[in-house]
Amino acid sequence: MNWKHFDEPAAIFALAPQPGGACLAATEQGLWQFDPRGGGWQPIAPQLAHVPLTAVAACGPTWLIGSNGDIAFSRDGGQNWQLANLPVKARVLGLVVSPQFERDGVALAATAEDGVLRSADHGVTWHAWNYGLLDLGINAIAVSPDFGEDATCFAASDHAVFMSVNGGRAWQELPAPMAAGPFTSLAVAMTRRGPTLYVGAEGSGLWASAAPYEAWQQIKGLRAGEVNFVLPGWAATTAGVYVAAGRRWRVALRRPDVVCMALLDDGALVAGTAGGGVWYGAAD
Amino acid sequence: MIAEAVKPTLGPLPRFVGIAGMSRDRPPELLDDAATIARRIIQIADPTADVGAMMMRHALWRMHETCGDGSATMATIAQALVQEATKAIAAGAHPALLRKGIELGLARASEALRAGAFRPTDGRRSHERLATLAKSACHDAELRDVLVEVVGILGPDGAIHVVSNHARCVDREYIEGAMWDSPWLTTGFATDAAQSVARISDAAVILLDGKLDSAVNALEGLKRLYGFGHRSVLIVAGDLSDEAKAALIQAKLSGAMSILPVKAPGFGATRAVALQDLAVLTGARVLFGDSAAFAQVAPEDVGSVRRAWATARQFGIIGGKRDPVALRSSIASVRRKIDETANLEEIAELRMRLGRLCGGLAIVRVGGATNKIQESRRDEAVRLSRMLQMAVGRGYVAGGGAALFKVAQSLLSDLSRSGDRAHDDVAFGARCLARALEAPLMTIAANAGFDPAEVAGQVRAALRADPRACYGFDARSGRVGDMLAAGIVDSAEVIERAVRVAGSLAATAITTDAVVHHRKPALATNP
Repeated sequence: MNWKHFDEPAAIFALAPQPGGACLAATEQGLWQFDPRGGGWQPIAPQLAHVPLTAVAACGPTWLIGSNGDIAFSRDGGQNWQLANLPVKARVLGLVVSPQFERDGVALAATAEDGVLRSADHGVTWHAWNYGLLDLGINAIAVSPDFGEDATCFAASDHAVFMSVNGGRAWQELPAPMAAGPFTSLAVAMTRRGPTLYVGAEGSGLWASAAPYEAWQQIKGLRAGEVNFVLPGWAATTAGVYVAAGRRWRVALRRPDVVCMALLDDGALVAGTAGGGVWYGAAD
Repeated sequence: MIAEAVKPTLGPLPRFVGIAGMSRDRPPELLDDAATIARRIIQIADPTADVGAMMMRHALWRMHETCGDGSATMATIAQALVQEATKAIAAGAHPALLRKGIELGLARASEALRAGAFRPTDGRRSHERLATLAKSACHDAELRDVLVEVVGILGPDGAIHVVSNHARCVDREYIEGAMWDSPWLTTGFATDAAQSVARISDAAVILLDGKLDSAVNALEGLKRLYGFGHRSVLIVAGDLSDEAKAALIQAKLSGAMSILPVKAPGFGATRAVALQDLAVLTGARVLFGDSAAFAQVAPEDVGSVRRAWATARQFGIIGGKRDPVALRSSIASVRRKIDETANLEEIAELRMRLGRLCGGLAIVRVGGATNKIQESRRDEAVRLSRMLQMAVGRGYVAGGGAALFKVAQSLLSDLSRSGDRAHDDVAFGARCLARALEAPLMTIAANAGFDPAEVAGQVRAALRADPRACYGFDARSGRVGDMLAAGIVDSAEVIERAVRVAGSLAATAITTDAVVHHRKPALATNP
C-alpha cells in the first residue's frame, strides 16, 4: 500500500466512510470531510468548529455526530444540524447505524456511563436500552453486516463483550475471558462460515470468535499490546496498523498513534491519529 | 384414569374433554388444558386408585405451575412407563431394580435432550421460534403477541410483572433500570408536582438500614456529603422522623442540594437483601444503625446513580456505579437459588431480583371483557411468560414428541449394543423408559386420527435412514418429516422436566407396595 500523510485535521476520534471514496472525521475541532478528488480535508459545519466531537456515523445525507453530552443529526449532508432528544446528557463514545438505516432508521450509541442508547427514527430520539447490559461504560459498539435480517449487534465494555439479537434492545454477556479486558474496539466480518466477531483488548491483543460466539481465539502475529481500533481485516495497535493476509497478520503501517480507521468504498484506508492528521493508504 | 383424561389434549389437534358440572344446573365444561382437567378431578371412587390419581394430579399441576406447559406430555410418559413397568413386574422383574434402570435411563435421556437443545443465534430466527412456540401453547393471539415481544426483549432473566388492565386490551410498559415497590418518605421532595414524581440525576446514594431520626445528624451527614462534592443525594432509609424530615426539606429549600429520601424496601431479611442489591448496583455500603451512622458517613460509604426517581408507591434507579465482579457474583447466586428452590413464590421474588440486577422489568397489563376472563388471561400470561422465558434461556428441541422419540431410539440402540439380557431388570427398566418416551408422539398421532403404530414405524424408518435429522409426525399435514425444518419446536427445559417428573412419578408408583387410607379424607379443590 502507498501511504500518504495529511497534517489536518486535529486530533481525530472517529471516522465514517462516505460514498465516492469520501470520509467524515469527528475531531476535537468539529467535523471534517475528506475528499481525495478535492484535495484532502476540509472543515465543514462552521457552527460545530469549536465543538469537540467524539463520534460520527453517516448514511446518505443523514449524518449523526456525538459529543460529550449530546447527539446531533443532519438530514442534508451537514448543512443544518439539530440536537437529538436524549434521556440524559450522555458522553458518547461511538455511533453506528444499521446497514439498512434509510429503511429501518436504527442507530446505536455507546456511552461512557449510560450504556447503549438506541434510536429507531433516524437519530431524532434516543432511549437507553440496557436490559442485561451489566456494565454501563461501553467503549465500542458494532452491528452485524446482516443487521437488517439478524438484528444482531455487539457492545464492548471494560469487563465484557455483550451481544444483542433484537437490534440492541436487550443484551447478553458473551463468554469472553474477563481477564482479557478492557475491550476497546469491535468489528464484525462476514466470512464464508458466517459472521466472525473481532474484539480488540487493551492489554491482550486481538481476539476472534465465530457465531455462536462461545469460544475465543487470540489472533497470532500481532505484537501483544493495546489494540486501539479494529475493522474487518485491519487492526490498529500501539505497535502499528496490521492487515490480515489470509490467516496471518502483518504490519502495514508502523505508526503507534492510530486510534480510528475507515475503509473507503474504493478500497483505500484512512487511519486517524490521536496527535492530529491522518494516514491515507491506497492500493499499489 | 387422570392420564387417560388428559391424553386427548396432547398435540396440535387436541380433543376436548368434557367435565360434568358440579351441580345439575351447571352445564358441563369442555376443556383442552391438561392441568385444568386434572384440577377438576378431585376424587376417584376407588380409594386405592385415588392415591395414585392424586399423585398424578399433583404432578400435573406442578408442571403447569413451574413450566406453564408439558403437563399432558408428562402424564402420557408417566402412564406409559407405569404400564410397561407393571408388565415387567408381572413377568417377574424386581421393582427396585426396574426403578434403578428407570433412573439411569432418565439421566441419559436428560443429558441427550440437553445436548440436542439449540438456541438460534440470530434475532429473526429467535423471534420466529418463539412465536411458533407461543402459537402452539396459547390461542389468545393478542396476549401471545405481546408476550413474545416482551420475552424477546427481556430475555430469560428479565422480570415480567403481570397486572390487571383497566382497558380490555393487553398492553406493556418497559421500566428502565431497577425498581422497588417502596415509596418516597415525604411528598415534599416532588420535582414534578403535576405527575407526583421526584427525579434527581447524578446523585450520591446513601443506604441506611435504620431510621433517620435526628435533625442534627441528618444535617451533619448532608454537610459531609456536600464536603465530598456531592450536590444531589438519594437517601434510602428505614424511616424518617418528622424532625429529620423538616431538616432535609430545609436543606433542599436552601438550594444547596437536591435530596430524595425513599423508604428502604421490605422488612427484616427481605430488606437486608434489597439493601444488598442496591449496594451492588450503586457501589454504596449499607450503613447499619440509625442517624448517628449517617452523621459519620465516609466517602467509601457513598454510591452513585445517574438517575433516580420516586413516587408515592415506588422508587427506581438508573445507571448505578456498579461493582462488575460483585454484580456478576450476585446474579450467579440468584440464578443458582432459582434452580434450587421449589417454592413458586420464592422463585417469583428471585426472578424480580434477577430482573433488577440485570436492569430489566416489563409490566404487562392484561384486560378482559369480564373479571373472570381477565383473571383467566392473567393466569395465562403468567404461564406463557414462564414457558417462553424457559425456552429462550435453555433453548429448543424438535417438537411433536420428536425429540423424545429420537432419545428413545438412541436409548434402545445403546441397550441393544450393550447386549442386555432379558433377565437383567436394570436394563429392562431403562428399556421401559425408552418405550414410554415414544408415547407422546404416538398419542399426538392418535389424537389427530392416525394409526399410532404405523406412524411410529414410519418415524423409526426415517430415523434409521438419517439419524442426524429430527424426524417426527406433523399432525396438521399428516406427514412424517424433519420437525426442525418444519419449525415445530418445544422448549427444551419443559420437555426435560416432563421426562424427569414422569420418571420420578412412575418410579415411586411401581415401588409403592402398601397404601394406608384415612377413614374420612378431606377433599382438596386445589392440587
